[in-house]
Amino acid sequence: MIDKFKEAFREEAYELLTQLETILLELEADPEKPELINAAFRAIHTIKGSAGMFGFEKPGRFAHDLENLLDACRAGRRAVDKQVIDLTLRARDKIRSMIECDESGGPFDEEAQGLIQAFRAAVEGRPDPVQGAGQSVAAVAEAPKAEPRALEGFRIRFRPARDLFKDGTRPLKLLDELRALGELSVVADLSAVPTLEEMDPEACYAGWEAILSTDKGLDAVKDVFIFVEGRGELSIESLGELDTEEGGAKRLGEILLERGAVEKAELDKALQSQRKLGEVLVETKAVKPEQLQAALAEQEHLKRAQERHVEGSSSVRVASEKLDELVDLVGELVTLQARLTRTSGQIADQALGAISEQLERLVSQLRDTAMSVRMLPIGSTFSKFRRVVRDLSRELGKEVELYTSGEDTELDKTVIERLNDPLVHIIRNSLDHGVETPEERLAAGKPRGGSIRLAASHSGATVEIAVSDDGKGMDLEAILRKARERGLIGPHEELPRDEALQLIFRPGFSTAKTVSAVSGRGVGMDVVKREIDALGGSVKLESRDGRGSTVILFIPLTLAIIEGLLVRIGEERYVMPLATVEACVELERADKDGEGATSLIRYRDELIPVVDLREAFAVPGECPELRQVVVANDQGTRSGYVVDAVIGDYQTVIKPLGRIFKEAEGISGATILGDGTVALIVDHKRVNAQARRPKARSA
Amino acid sequence: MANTGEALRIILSGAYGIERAAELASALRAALQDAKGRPGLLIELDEVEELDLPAVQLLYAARRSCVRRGLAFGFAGAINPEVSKRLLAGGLVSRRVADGEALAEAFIGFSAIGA
Repeated sequence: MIDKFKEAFREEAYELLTQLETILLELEADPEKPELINAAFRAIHTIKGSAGMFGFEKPGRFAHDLENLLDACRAGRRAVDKQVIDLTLRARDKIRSMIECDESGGPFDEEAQGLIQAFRAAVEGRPDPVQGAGQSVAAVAEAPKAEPRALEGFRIRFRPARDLFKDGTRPLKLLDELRALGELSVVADLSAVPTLEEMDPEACYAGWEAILSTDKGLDAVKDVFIFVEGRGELSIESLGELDTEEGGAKRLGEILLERGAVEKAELDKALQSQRKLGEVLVETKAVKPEQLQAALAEQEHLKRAQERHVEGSSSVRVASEKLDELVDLVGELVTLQARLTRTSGQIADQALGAISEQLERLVSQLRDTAMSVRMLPIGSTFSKFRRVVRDLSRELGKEVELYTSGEDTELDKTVIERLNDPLVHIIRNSLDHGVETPEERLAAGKPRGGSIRLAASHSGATVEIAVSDDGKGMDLEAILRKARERGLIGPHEELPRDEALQLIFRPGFSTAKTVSAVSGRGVGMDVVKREIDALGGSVKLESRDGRGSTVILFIPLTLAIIEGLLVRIGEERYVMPLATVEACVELERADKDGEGATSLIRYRDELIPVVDLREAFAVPGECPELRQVVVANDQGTRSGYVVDAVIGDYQTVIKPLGRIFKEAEGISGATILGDGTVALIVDHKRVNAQARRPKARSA
Repeated sequence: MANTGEALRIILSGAYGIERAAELASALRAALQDAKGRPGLLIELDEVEELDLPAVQLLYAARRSCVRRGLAFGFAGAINPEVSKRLLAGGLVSRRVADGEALAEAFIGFSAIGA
């Protein structure tokens, strides 16, 4: 039982430590942001509190000293500088290792002692140490008091004076400060902007309507506007407590009336028409579009607050093993369902058929729900890379920033875990071999600092993850030279640019002159490719001389269940992943141009290569006269696969092949069909590559 | 500035904060003069790294001036994700935007100017 609590503490602490790392890196870029210092303090404060509660007394004591330092920064007694960020990052790693190694008590080791002394020295760098220490203790003791306040909604209207910009005030910064207090929905009103001729380019014509939900209270909201008081119109109105059952959903008309944006009579008139209220009101000019936007934003904000209240009161933390077990069981259920459908078809009993159909719908819903529970945003992995880039660029004497986008993109938990190593390797490679040193960059007419961009996005049933840098790009000549040396290509063989680039994914390939400590852990890009292949994904490399290179990973959303196309070749049945299937066309023997496993067919005015799966898999038996070609479209490249017949679509639970079959080319797994027989899942990309390879080798 | 024979294209580049407001205003005013006889103005945003409030106000003003003259006014090119994020944080757009066309739709009250 105690272990269970400890495990829960560990999970929570790891999450907080990850958050802390992200906050510190942001703080390093923008040390003036008070909300970030507060957030860092809160994270450490929470870790300290729960560490003590769950018997991790040692990391708790250590966190207390770090907390004092952050508190000094929070109170403005200590500037947030490089030293503070460095110390806190090191301390964060130390706390993590203490929790990982289950160091619950006992004396501190040398590293921890050194860090604690460094925290104290950093705090004591302030002018009045005695007073400061007193304040520090008080602040720590007071911190929990701020927690239990209820979430309150505020409607804020701000129309600054025209001369606001003149003294350097930036209204968008004020909005950032508001956002730091809680959740903010904001809509600007620029209807007062005149024509270019009449306009003073340095005057402020904008106004804002905002809804803020915060637990910090009215005074904190007022504080944000303290420096612009009396400089324009400002109203802050409380909407009451939001985290109650009643708070939340309101009708649009109600909000518009409350805001005084519309008269009751006009509203009633608009409500009589059977169209959308907002459209009618804007059309009849009863309401300005900006007013409607603001009211809609308020409605959406309140709805979200209520939804979160419901969610918050009913969410539970579940061990990931349990989720895996659930998905496995659902997988079994899907297989069994397929058998039931097939059996009920054979028995032809109406009542049984109806039950089977109903069950099929339920199983399909259950499958979707179970899969969605395992989906996680990829952003959790991204934050780790920020640290990798920071530490490594220092080590290499380079100045590199990591930019990320698409953090919300969701992927199966297992896929995310397995993506970590390949992504670290790609990023390390970009840093080590791609981005140049500041001197080299300046000499090439580029800015000193380089950048690496990490972007994730959905594209159909796959997620695209691109890692791009603005470095020197791939040295094509060096790649070809090395490939020739290694015998990967013939001594005089020339390859098109795209194909030549892909050589770096071949086993044993490395263009680095020395094995560097950074990207060389004895692995090359071939390991990345193997990992991604194992995930059922693919890798693409693009490079522009002097402008950088991009590695794009295409990853399937999930590993456990796929939509497949069931096909027959001879007596055997195979499944092809439906996500890449574009069409199925008939093929008469005469249509095939060429003999053997590979040939070409004409499809939509394009000649596409086809692979005869009967020949590729050496299926025995007579080949029928009329066959089918399954046309796959893989990121714009089409290829065809000849099968005897297409049976139809089929939900497939992927069963891994045993170790003996791991190297079986062209097969990525197996599935059990409704009648209990096994069908192999075709990895068409490998089949295609393999079918084309023997010719080159024997030549 | 480059002429395309159709709408007059104005290429914006770099960060547009308050310090460049006057410069942007005169560029837009000059473009308005040059656009005579053309269907309208098209602002290229590919190279824009920052678009602060004063610049956004100028784009609204330019649209208002164009509408008065019967000229079209639109945006082209990809929007830097950071720019899009800042616009959304400032309540200036209704959603995140990836390109100029989407920006014209998402700017609050922008399409209603002159309507």
